[in-house]
Amino acid sequence: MSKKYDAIIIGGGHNGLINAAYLAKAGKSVLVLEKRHVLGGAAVSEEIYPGFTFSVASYVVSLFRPHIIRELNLAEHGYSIIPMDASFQPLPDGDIGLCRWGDASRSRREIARFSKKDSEVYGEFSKIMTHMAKLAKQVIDHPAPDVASINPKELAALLRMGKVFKNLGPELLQMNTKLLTMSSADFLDLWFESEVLKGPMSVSGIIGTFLGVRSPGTAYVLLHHYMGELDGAFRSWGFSKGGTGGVSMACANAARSFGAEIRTNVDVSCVKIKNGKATGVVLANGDEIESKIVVSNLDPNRTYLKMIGENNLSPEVTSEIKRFKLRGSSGKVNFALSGVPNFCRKREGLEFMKGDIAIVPNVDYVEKAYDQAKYGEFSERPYINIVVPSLTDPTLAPPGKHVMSCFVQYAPFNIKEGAENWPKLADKFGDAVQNTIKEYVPDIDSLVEHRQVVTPWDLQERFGLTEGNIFQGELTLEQLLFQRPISGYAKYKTPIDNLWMSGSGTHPGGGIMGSGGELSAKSILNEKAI
Amino acid sequence: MSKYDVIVIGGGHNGLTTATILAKSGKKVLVVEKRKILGGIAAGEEFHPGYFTTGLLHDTSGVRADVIKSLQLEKHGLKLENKRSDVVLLSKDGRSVTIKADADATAGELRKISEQDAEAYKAYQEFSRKISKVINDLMDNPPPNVDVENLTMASLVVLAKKGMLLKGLGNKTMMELLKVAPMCVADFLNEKFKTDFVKAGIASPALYGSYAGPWSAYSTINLLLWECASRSCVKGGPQALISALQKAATQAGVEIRTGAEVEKIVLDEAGAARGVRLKGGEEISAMKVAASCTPKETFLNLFDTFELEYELDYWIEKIRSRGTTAKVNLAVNKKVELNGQAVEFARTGNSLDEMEKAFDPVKYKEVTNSPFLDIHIPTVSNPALAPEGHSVVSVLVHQIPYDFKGGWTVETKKKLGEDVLKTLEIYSSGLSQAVAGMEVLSPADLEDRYTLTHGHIYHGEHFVDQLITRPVPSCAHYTTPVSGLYLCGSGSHPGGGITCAPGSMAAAAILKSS
Repeated sequence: MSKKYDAIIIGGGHNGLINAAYLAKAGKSVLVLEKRHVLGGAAVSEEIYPGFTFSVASYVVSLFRPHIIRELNLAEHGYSIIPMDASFQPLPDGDIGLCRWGDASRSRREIARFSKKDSEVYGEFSKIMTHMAKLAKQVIDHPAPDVASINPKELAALLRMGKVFKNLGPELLQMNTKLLTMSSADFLDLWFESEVLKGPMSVSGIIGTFLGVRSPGTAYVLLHHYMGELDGAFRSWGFSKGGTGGVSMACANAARSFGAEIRTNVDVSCVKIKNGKATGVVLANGDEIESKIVVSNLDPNRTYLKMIGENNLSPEVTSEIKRFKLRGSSGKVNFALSGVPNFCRKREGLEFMKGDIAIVPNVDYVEKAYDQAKYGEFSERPYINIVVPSLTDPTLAPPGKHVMSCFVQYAPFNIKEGAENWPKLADKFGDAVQNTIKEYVPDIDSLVEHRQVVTPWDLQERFGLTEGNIFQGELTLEQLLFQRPISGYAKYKTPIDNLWMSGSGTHPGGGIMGSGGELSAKSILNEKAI
Repeated sequence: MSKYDVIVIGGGHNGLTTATILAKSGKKVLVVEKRKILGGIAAGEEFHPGYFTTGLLHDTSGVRADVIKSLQLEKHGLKLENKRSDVVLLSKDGRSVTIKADADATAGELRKISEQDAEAYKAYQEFSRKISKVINDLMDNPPPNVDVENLTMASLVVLAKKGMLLKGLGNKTMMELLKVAPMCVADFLNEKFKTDFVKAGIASPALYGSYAGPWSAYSTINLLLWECASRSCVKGGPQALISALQKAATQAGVEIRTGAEVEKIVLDEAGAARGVRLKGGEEISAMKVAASCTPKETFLNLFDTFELEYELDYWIEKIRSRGTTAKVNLAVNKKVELNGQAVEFARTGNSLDEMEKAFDPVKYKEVTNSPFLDIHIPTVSNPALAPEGHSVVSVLVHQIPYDFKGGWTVETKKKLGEDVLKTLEIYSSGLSQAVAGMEVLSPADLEDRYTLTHGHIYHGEHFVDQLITRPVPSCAHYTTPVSGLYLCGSGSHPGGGITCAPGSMAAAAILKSS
């Protein structure tokens, strides 16, 4: 008879580890089970080629909640972020492009090269967005209130949320409605005229979604860029030292320091359910481990249909979970390079390349990339978000060499050839990315030592992300808040007693925020589930 | 002392509704209409010698029966049918299916094509029926006050009532409504329906006047709004409504001047609207002015910027009204059949993907060569609109951008007309040879003829942020920051289409303030 744990957490991604850390900190006995040989889920660093460490999937950190860092002492456990000070937009015609800097006045001077009006509006825009981002933070730092309930506690939570908007005044309130519902391109059109500025700004609204910059409902994601909390720095994005896996490692170390047990290479085949209650997990090798509660860090699709199984669900819940949309739209191409890929030789130094580099010369460019994807093809000329983290963190590559991480959209999971044929297309997809980059870095071909292509199919097969969705489910309004993943089970609970969820498929959604893990753990403790 | 209590700018269906209600309450009212004829987009016109349309728009199923009743339009010859018209969905493979007012009858039709679609349609109609109380409460009443800072007890009660109504749906229906409302109509229909052209045909109304393709988020709420508000229609189409309204207005004592173009709204020293100045210089004074033209026309053309309150023009400019509709009227020297049957109303579309592909070029200011069509053949029920045995085919062509990169010229319009004919040929072989005359109205023409800003048929896109607080928060209750000026057109709540709702609610707001 093996030990009975208070909680077993399925999936050692950052949310699972954070969940474990909080529960262990509260004195609970916790076991984390990770299928792969490394921890971190999609927030992982791996040495794919000798000497080159890639952040294979997630590659930047922006929204990580600062109170989690504090509460779990993550800094002591190795959490270290190098802020990104620049955001560069190269242009294919040899222009020096547009670089936005941490220093706002420096950005405005760069913007003024393209539009004087835009440079003037830029500050005002940031001010309003920052204001609205403060409101959004209130929403992501609490579990989503249940609108269907008439429980006074829930009504009070709803009212609290309503009050957030109280001081806006009607005009800002409408601006807020616009922000929540409009397309990012339309929303930016309300302010700016320069394509060089609007292009890279608009794409922050579509990352990880199967939507275009002209699709309604994409504007609110613009807020993400104003919600970052890394010392209030511009856009507040950063690299984790040693790759994104560093964040997960810090979470794992913290969890261990509180007494959590973590095992890798353990494949859970399903949750053990008795009389509608979770009592532990069953492993692929047939072993069983018992626990008072189980927390699934997997996406909703896997949690419900694989870990629970249709036979344990009502037909209504099954049909609701099948409606949950997870259409992945992006891939990654990671390069090991023999030298610096210079995206603009006309600029001095390499400071402009130490942040992210966005290949999106104008708004129509990225919308056309989406048009192609809608009908089942990957974009011939995709939107690429590039970082060269080895410029700031030399430990990632051998001396003089570099790693270049390219987030690529659109690569629809459901290609017309059928998703399972993605492996056959991977090279073609990699070529499209490399050829697009060649328009900016003519010598790219001679720099490439290795190329790792991660297709949406790989994201599913390797990281367990159904349909390759990097956020464990599309971030459309009907899949947010009290409807994430499905209404009635939005508060980290499931129809199975003692089975909880903590991943990005729960409120408040994807990105390396840590909120799912944190809020889930706090709900478990509040309800004295263990 | 002014001669008039109220001057109404624009003699369309909303302007006439406002004027008539006010006159019936004893106000002295003048309607000034720019064109030589009344009716605006609801006016029927002779577009080719001997051939008449019944209006720019086809659909009158959103008309508010209570307004018709209160204006006693039936006394003036108007006949209201207590159901909406049958619409035939056309497939290019020759199949067609009729969507009838009755859900079961429609399911019977659909069953010939697909059992799944028949069941899906019944479920969809059942859902629409359940939520229609909530939707129609929203459409039939002035918008709730959402100015959180200045909430009065009365407005709180209204909000609470709306909340109760929503809760009254029961949790299951309410959660389903909250789930599907923000969805794109393609996802919404793909969940239940099977046949491509059926999905396309049902989706169509969601996309009219909304600068959206079927994959655009929030298009489902547009579809549900249309579904729920679409209850009864006017026999004889929009023109019949205008004829009755004109008679009712005249009888109520409304003075009407056509060919009278307003150049400017005249303000007094305190900045209040006190009349209008016509082109040519004539000034007419009144206690109040009600504008049924578009909000952009009202504030950006009939005022000088310096006259407007701080930032009002800024917000008005931000209203999105990108026209995507063109009109093609055909005079045909034979009876027209579509997919082998005589039909009055029909929609093409074929598949959601094809509709999305028609929308794609709009984003780049280009024109698709396979637009989807909303067809009305009014001669089926009213042969008098054309010479004996002949037909009028009125076509609303969707996903045709106002800001076409090439500009709207004689050549580009000709090409548009040809593309529409080519599309129609698929459903009615040999039609082209029978065309005796054709009128092509680009979105730019619609702007010119009807003073529709950017050619937008609804005076502003129907989209979440432009509903409820339509057109902008400070003008959302038919009043405006300019004292004495009211809005009474489609730019106000609940929006465009032939409903008469904004006109009637604006009249109520004007009466309340005096």
